[in-house]
Amino acid sequence: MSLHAIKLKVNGCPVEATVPGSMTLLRFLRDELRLTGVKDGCAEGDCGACTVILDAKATKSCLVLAAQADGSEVTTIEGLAGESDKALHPIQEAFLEAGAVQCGYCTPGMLLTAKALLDANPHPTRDEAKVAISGNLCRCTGYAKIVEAILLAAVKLDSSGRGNA
Amino acid sequence: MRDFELLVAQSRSRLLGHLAEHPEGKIVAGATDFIPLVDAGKLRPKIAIDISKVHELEGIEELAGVLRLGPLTTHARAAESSLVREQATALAEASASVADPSIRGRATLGGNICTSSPAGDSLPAFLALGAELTLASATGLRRLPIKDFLVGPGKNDLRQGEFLERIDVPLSASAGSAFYKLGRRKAMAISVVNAAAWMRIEEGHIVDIRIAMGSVAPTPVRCYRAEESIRGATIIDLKRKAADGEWLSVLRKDISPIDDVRAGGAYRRQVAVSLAERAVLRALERAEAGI
Repeated sequence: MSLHAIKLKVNGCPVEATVPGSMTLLRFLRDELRLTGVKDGCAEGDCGACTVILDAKATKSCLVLAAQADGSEVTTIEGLAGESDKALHPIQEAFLEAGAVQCGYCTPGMLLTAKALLDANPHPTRDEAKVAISGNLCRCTGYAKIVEAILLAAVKLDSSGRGNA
Repeated sequence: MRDFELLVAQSRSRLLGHLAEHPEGKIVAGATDFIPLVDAGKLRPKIAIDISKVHELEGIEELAGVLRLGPLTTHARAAESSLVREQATALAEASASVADPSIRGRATLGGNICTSSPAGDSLPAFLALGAELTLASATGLRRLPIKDFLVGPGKNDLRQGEFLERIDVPLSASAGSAFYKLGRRKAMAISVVNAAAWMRIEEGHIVDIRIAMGSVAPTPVRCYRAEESIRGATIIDLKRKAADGEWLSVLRKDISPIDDVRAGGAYRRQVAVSLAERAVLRALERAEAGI
């Protein structure tokens, strides 16, 4: 088994590690860094529960080898709100206000997919929001409220002036 | 069980070096097919060679009469590229229909070609566009049309020690193309059937046409009989034939769909014809509009 020394930034912190070549980014984040907010769903790319932001793009971490993330920047749900421990990110607030969280298992992936969408496109249409989360399954089937939450988050980010925070 | 050894190629020359040493090495780019196939036991590589950072293999450029695509170009980039949208519309539409936005951001054109799935969405588009592949190895370059590259379900003519260097799509004026896909849902769906058409018109005639379909045979296939029945026809005649359903019976002979988990063969046969017809008529519209 090959071992690879990798350097990346996870939630703003530099991380250096040695990983087996066959390890996925999902397993690295959960098992090595103990970032268990990255949810392990289907582990074959269908459900989106393991979505993180990898170099500004919403990415299913089960479909990326950890060694491929060498030199990258990763944001998980643990890093979404930024440095302040207590405050929620406006997208998280919007999900709570819109009632977009039921069992919660898809929520980290939904939030990070929404973040990547809103960073690239601060004023998405309803259809654009639907397309963005088209690879994220919510088996409580709360999609309507999740879409509402993303549109509400766009408004909140506008008024908080932290569009790219 | 994922227990392969990973070699990371940072450049084209390192890739050639790794392949010279391990000609059996399985090349990995976006990894979006690779990881699930390994986990399912359908691929058992001992050596995997990561090319995701070989940036020389990325890019989209127009040369004299050719749209040249680097195999590491992602579906997201192909779908957004104005060059691809205007010059190889069927490919832009196929790339936009692959999986979901996050997978399109990682999955590559070369990966779709080399996975060689009978249902791979870009494959009918490349077949209809008449794409030519250049394969590279330590001994030099080899060019072949994509139709000769795809030889079976998940099987292709990539030889040991070779990698896909580039994809060339020939361009011509007054041509148009289109792609349609039918899946169980709009995202993350493996195609039940997909279809692409390309045609060139001159003075009111269809002077050249290519139709290709996926998920209807062991490999994505060209529909030669249907093409033959249209080639040379006038535009008016093609529209009349389409309205009469005349050449649709011909198209049925070009395909051999089977029953599987996604759909039955009889259903596939029926929707395949509709999809091909839509692709042909849309390609005609675009050829007529000069895009």
